[in-house]
Parts: sequence; C-alpha cells; structure tokens
Amino acid sequence: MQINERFDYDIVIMGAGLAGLSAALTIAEQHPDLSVAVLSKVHPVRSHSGAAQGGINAAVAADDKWEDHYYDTLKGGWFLGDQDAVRILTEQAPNAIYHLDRWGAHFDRDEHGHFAQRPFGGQRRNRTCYVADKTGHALLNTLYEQAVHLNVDVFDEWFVFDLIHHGDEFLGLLAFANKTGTIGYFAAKTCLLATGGAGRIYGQSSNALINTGDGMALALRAGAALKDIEFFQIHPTGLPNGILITEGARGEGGYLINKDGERFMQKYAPQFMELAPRDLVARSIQREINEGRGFGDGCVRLDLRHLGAEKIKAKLPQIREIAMYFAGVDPIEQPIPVRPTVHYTMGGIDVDINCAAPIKGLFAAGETACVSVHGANRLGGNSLLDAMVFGIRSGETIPAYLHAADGPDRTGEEALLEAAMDRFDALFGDGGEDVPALRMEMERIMVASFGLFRNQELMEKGLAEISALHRRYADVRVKSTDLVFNPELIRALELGFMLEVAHACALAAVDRRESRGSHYRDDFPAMDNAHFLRHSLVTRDAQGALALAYRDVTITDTKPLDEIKY
Amino acid sequence: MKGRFDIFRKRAGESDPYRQEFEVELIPGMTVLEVFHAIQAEHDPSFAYRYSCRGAICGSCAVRINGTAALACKTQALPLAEQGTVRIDPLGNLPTIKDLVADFDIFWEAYDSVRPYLERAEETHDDVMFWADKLDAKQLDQLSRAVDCIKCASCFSDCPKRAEDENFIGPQASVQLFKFYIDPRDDLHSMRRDAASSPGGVVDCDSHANCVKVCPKDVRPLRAINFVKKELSATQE
Repeated sequence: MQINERFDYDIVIMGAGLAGLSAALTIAEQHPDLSVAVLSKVHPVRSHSGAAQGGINAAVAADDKWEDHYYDTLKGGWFLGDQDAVRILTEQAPNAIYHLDRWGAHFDRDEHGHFAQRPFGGQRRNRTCYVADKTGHALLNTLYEQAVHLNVDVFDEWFVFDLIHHGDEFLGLLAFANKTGTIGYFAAKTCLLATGGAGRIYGQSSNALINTGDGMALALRAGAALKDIEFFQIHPTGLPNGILITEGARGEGGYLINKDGERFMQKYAPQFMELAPRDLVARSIQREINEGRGFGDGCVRLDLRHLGAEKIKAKLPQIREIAMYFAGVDPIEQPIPVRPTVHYTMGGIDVDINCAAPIKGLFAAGETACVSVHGANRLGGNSLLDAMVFGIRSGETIPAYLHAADGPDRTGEEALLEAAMDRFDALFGDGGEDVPALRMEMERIMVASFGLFRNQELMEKGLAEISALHRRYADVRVKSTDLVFNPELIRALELGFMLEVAHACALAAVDRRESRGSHYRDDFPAMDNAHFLRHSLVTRDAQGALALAYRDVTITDTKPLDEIKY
Repeated sequence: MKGRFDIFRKRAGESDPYRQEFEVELIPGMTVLEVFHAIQAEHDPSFAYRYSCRGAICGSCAVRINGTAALACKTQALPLAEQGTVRIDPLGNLPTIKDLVADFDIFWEAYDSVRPYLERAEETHDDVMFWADKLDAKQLDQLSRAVDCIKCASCFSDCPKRAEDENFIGPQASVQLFKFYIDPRDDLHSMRRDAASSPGGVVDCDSHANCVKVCPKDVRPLRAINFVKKELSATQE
C-alpha cells in the first residue's frame, strides 16, 4: 500500500483523552503560532478518561496543603514514586482544577461556594473534587468543547500503526483514516503519546476495549523503555465483563458468597469481613475462584438480597442498574456475579519530569507515561489528576523544546517510510494465526500468572507462554486489505501492541522478588527496600529481544517507610 | 439458547445494503454489544460496528435495535431474543459508512453550529461560585442532565422532525445550546438566543418527544428545549 497524504506539524498528539486534549489546549492558548494535530482512534469524547467517576484530587481547600497530598501519594505508592515528580503532581494539582473550571467544568461546590471535596481512600482529608459521579465524563467533554472553541486540528478515528524515527530522533506517525481508508504520514518535530493504559492485556479488566497500550508499544519498539510495567492495579469486584461494582455495595452490607453458600471473608478477615482492605478482599475472592469454590462462570457472588428491595432501591439504585443492564441480574432477586478486575496501569513509557522520553522529540503523558507518580499503587482521584497535570505540563515543555531544538534531520526518511509500509503490507494475506484465539490466550495467561497472586513458578511459566505467543503473533495475517472500518485489521494491530506490553510486564514481574503495592508475591510477601526500591526498565532491541534494567527511585526529602500500614 | 439476529450490512463504498442473519449462542447477562463481538470473532471478521467503554458512558455503540435507537452495550440480548429474531440497523438520520457504522459528520456539524463551549470575558476561574444563587432547582436539574449527554446520537437518529427537516439541528445540539445558554458564566447569551430562534434552531422542535424516550442517559432533551423556548417567548413579550 501507498502513503496517500503527508501532513506537516510542529506537534502531533496521539490520543485525545484528558492528557492529550489538555496538552493541545495549553499549546493552542499559549503558543498559537505552533501547529498541533490530535490523532485519536476514536472520537475524542469516546476516550476512556470519560469512564472515571470519582473525581480529581487537589489541595485547593484553604486549610489543605499540597505537602500532605504529596505524602499521601508517596505512601499510597509504596514509595516507588519519584519524589520530584510527585511534588509536581501535587503542587500543580490546584492549577489543573482552576484550568478546568475556567474552561467550563461544572465542579460541585460546597455551601461556601468553594470546590466541594469528597473523601477517597488513602488520604488523610477530603481532597477529591468532583462533578457528581461523572467527573471524568464531564471533564473530558469540557476539554473537547474548548478544543472546538480553539479550532484544534482533530483527526478522529485515525488509527496510528507505526512510529517513524531515525535512531534516537522522532520523525513522524503513520496512520490510516477509518472513514476513508486514507493512509497519512504525520511528519512532525515532536510527538506526545497520550494513549491511556493497557488494562486490556488481562481477560478481566474494567478498561474500555480500546485500552490496548498502543502508545506504550510504539515507544518500546522505537527504543524507549517501559518503566514499572509490572504494576497493574486490580479492583476486587467487577462484573463478568469487567464493569466495576463499587465498594458502596459492600459498604451497605452486601455479602460475598462462594458456590457453597459460604461467606468466605470469615476465613480471611473475620474482623472486617467484606469491608477489609481492597487488596485483601481481591485476593480472597481470587483464592476462592482458584481453589474451585467459584461458580461455573468463574465468579463469586455479591449477595444483596438480605438488604431487601426497599433498601436496595433507596441506597444502591446505581449498582442495581449496572447489574441489570450489564449482567442481566436484578440484585433484589439474584446475587451479582463478581470477580477481581484489572483497573489501572501504573507503569508506562519512561519519561522525565518534563514528559520527555530518551528519543528526541518524543514525549508522553497520562496513563501511557510513567514519570513516575503512582509508584506501586495509585490513589483514587490521582489518575485524572496525572492526566491533567502532565498533559498541561507537556503543553509547556514541548514548546520549550521546540524553541531550543532544530527540527529533526529528515535525511533517509523516505527509506524509513518504505520499510514501515513493507512491515504494514506484510500483515496482510491468507491463513496464519487467529487473532481472537491469540488474544484470549494472552488474556488467560495474564490473569493466571500476573494477576493477584504471583510467584516464581507461576510467572516463569507465564513468561514462557507469553514469549511463545508473541512469536506466534508474527504469523497473524489480515485477509481484507480495505482500510475502511476494518475491525479485523484493527484488532490484529491492537493485539500486536498488547503483546509488547504483556511481554514487558511478565519480564519485569518475574524479576521483582518482593511484594510492593499491586505486585503481590506469595513467595516474597514483604517489601524489600534494600533491593527493590528502584524502577524496572524494559527495553527492546530491533530484533524484538527484551532487556531488563533498573534505576534508583528519586528521593529528595522523604525517607521511605519499610512497611506500609493504614 | 441460540438467538437470531437480522443485521443490516453494507460494504464500504457500495451503495446497496443487504441483510444477513446470524445465530449466536446466548448466555444470561450477555449484551447486544457482546453479540456483535461474537459475530465479529466467530462468524465474520469484517463485521464493523463501533465500541469503546461498553459501560454506557462513551456513546460509541448506539444502533437501532428492533427499530429504536439504543446503546448496544446497555441492552441485554437474551430477553430480546426470546421474543424472536432481533433486528439491528445503524442509526437513522445519518448516512451509513459500513455495516453498523454511521457517518457522524452532520451530527457534529449541528453540534459545532451552536458554539458548544463556554466563553468567558474574564479569563479566570471562580474561587467562589454559588450555582444555586443563579439557577433554580429545575434549571440545575436540567443542567446536570445536559452534562450527562454522551453524544451517542440516539436522539438525533430517532427525531421525526430531523427526518423531515434537515435544517433542524436536532435534540442533542439543542441540549448543548441550552447548557451554555443558561450557564451564568457564559458571555454569548444574546448570540445563543438568536441562534435558538433562527431557522433550524431550537424553536423548530415539534415536540415529538422521541428524544426523551430513547435517551440512554435520561437527558430529557425536550425539557431543555422547552426551557429555551419558554425564555425566548418571555423575552419577546
């Protein structure tokens, strides 16, 4: 196939969620002389930022201090977050709220007219600003509105399939338009990857179906590192299709039941029962399922029936709706099938505090990136914040970079593009491996070996299986060469991206012989600061071989604890 | 049980659509979107439809199910299939690109036409802001509903007025106009009033109320439209 059109921009942004759009708006407002293109494989308002319900943390209250938010975030992340990065996140948090308010967000207000704030886990005070229970949706739409206002060039439903670079210098992105089938080359001086997380590598995930780690994989292939990619946050209760059932259901008195009708939390946390800490509840549920006490559908049950119809209708109307619409179960009459579900990617593209990757001109922000701020576990309300603060920040650091640097040397670009198109062409043909089968196999391996329970034996087996699967991917072929809304092609490309991330996760996870945050090993149950207070860095050579290295955590002013207790 | 799905098909670039029936094994809890996934994975890898969050918040997967617009991810398949073959079509009032993928260009044009963004003379945020001082409870309730809109185009698809008058901006864009029209922070108030009363604007709504019935987020577009209409007539008198 041929490249049909070339576009030239100062900055090309891949991804149009909170991180990508806030970067685009910042550049459009502060540097209208710079040209920006935003590419998204879906329309911007379909981005996964919109699914975040709870809110966005910021020390905006007169009696709150960013220093407290800073410490809570460090501790919540088991001190794996870089302290200079966490300082930026928390110190700049109020600024992100003010930007959003100015752009039109409808934040809830308290009785004094100030930003209303709700309590979230792991924080010592109410610090989470919100728009009812639809914060992500409201903020995403607000940003899109301002993108319309500022005439940002949005290329929606353009799928990026390759990143062109010359050695360690970024040159451009190759993408096709789903609507027309046009293949475009976006030659740009700089690129911001803002493609969100990779939760879809797991068979049980709350993530949107589009969260396939595209930006992470492209960066890895281009020579950047994935940092701390073994850390995936897991929520204890999702429906069979991954949609979350919030803690509220257990808070109101719901029981967790195995197939023998037993309230199994009695065995694991007799004092707290269903309201034990999240990670303990998640591991208990998974243990029941692993040991054969789950139901036939691979779930346990969340039973609300004893609360009675009246209380369920009054106190838990949304949970009831979610169970009815997405699992076909009315909790007044039947218990809800639930199991742990992967929720957030703490790791990501290794970037510095200016969002810059080691490849000249390449930047990343939001869940795609790992600056790092979340460490080994993310606090609720810090994900939207990460996307906003580092989205805005990249919108400032990229123009600064452009000011200081010349554009890339484009000698040899033609040959690189030809090679990329050859790679693309090689994906098409008859026969070969079946994408849905490979995807399901990857999802199974990740849940079985890199889920809530990890140990040497399980993970070594999982790593070998993922490597084998990755090799089999080379034989995937797409039959239809028509690029217009070709789901076979998109799913094949996405599987390729996911396997890169899954493979990197497996490699880093096996080697981390400790338990820290979301990485829990039954063979090494304790945190080990002496050996593992450091970031994992997975890189890939041109032949696809992965390598693992480490880098010390940046510590500026706060001594890490040796044990995390709440 | 096996469910039968009679689905609208159209190849990209070809003008003649056709219909195709698929049999899909259904398990309790399965949504219509999951039926589409099964068809794509097991029967026809080229079968095209939109999806993203599969949790009724992104607005990608609206199609017509047995003739009425709905989110595929929010519709249980089994109860429908038990009543007979389920008919699936792309959204109405929009051209179709391929299979169930509708072309949203005219939908977004209508959206853009109402200047769907807050314009403030003062380029700053509000440290202190009392919504309740500026809007009454009913207005606040409708504003909150307007914020809920996921732009899935279900209302646009099933709007009889839009079907007969392609100048009408449709329910969704009307909701957007309302959202900024009543926002006390906005400085385009008179422009928005003019836009609402110009041909094709909010005033052209014929109050069929289909938008209220099909909206998956209970935005109640007609109620927003009536707010604007009422204010326009009050200011004219």
